[in-house]
Amino acid sequence: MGVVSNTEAYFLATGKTREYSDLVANNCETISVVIPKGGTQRIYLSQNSLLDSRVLTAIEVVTQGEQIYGYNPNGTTSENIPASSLPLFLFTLGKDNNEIIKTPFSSMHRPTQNGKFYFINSEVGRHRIGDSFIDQIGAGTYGSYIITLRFWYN
Amino acid sequence: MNNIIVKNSQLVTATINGTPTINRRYKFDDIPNLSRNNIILYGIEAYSASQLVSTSDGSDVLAAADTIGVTVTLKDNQNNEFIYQMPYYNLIRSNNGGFVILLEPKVINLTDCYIQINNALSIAEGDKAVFNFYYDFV
Repeated sequence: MGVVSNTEAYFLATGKTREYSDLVANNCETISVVIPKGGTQRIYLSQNSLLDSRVLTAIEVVTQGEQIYGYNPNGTTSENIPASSLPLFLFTLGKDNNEIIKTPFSSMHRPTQNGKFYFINSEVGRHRIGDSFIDQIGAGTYGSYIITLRFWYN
Repeated sequence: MNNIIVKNSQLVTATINGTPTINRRYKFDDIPNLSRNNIILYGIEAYSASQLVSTSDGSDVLAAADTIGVTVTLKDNQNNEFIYQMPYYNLIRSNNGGFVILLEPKVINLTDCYIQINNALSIAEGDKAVFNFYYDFV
């Protein structure tokens, strides 16, 4: 049976069977994305050299329920997406070859998850914010609403 | 506030092919880079349409009310059913206070894992059970 399995070596190398965390980070950076139109689409994030050169510990998405307005690039504000729109969106972090793929926004929304963070602990050099993107997977007229992503880092 | 650290993740589906039938088993869909027995699964999360309206190919996700009619069985590379008929409902994160279900890490045999319908409720042909697999490479 051609099974590729090296479980014991993996445990010896990592020293633990599973990792979990209760520490967020000392800093956070907000990335605001203006949704360009309604309907299905893919929106890439702008490059962010600050976050690319930091250890990312957690990601969260912020909705109207926590913060009514997000920021447009020109400094004006528009409404953040409502919590009811969360099932329409997925986030892919550009980590190595997009190894954190299509995470539903509902997993990254803390009020939905009883306050729990979505920990990723991505080391410097593994992630590229500019390679990360958001997918809208269903009809929904959220054009000009703001997606506010909060990245926690050290 | 302990919770899982995501190393790698990917959405995995099991499709209800044909008329939903009680006690029928539906295998997980093949994903080439996850089905070569080369990943260690250490956490799993399930979704209903309340958290994710559709999959990337546009298929409907199981409705929240239907999640109580489905169980999940996971097999390792020795074909042991190390998770046997766990209620789908219990794998939905928001039903567990935001905690992801953590597993003792196992090499899994993806395409032998399956969901089973225990009560058809309003499940429709073509609906998909959707999971986020949290894994590491062996």
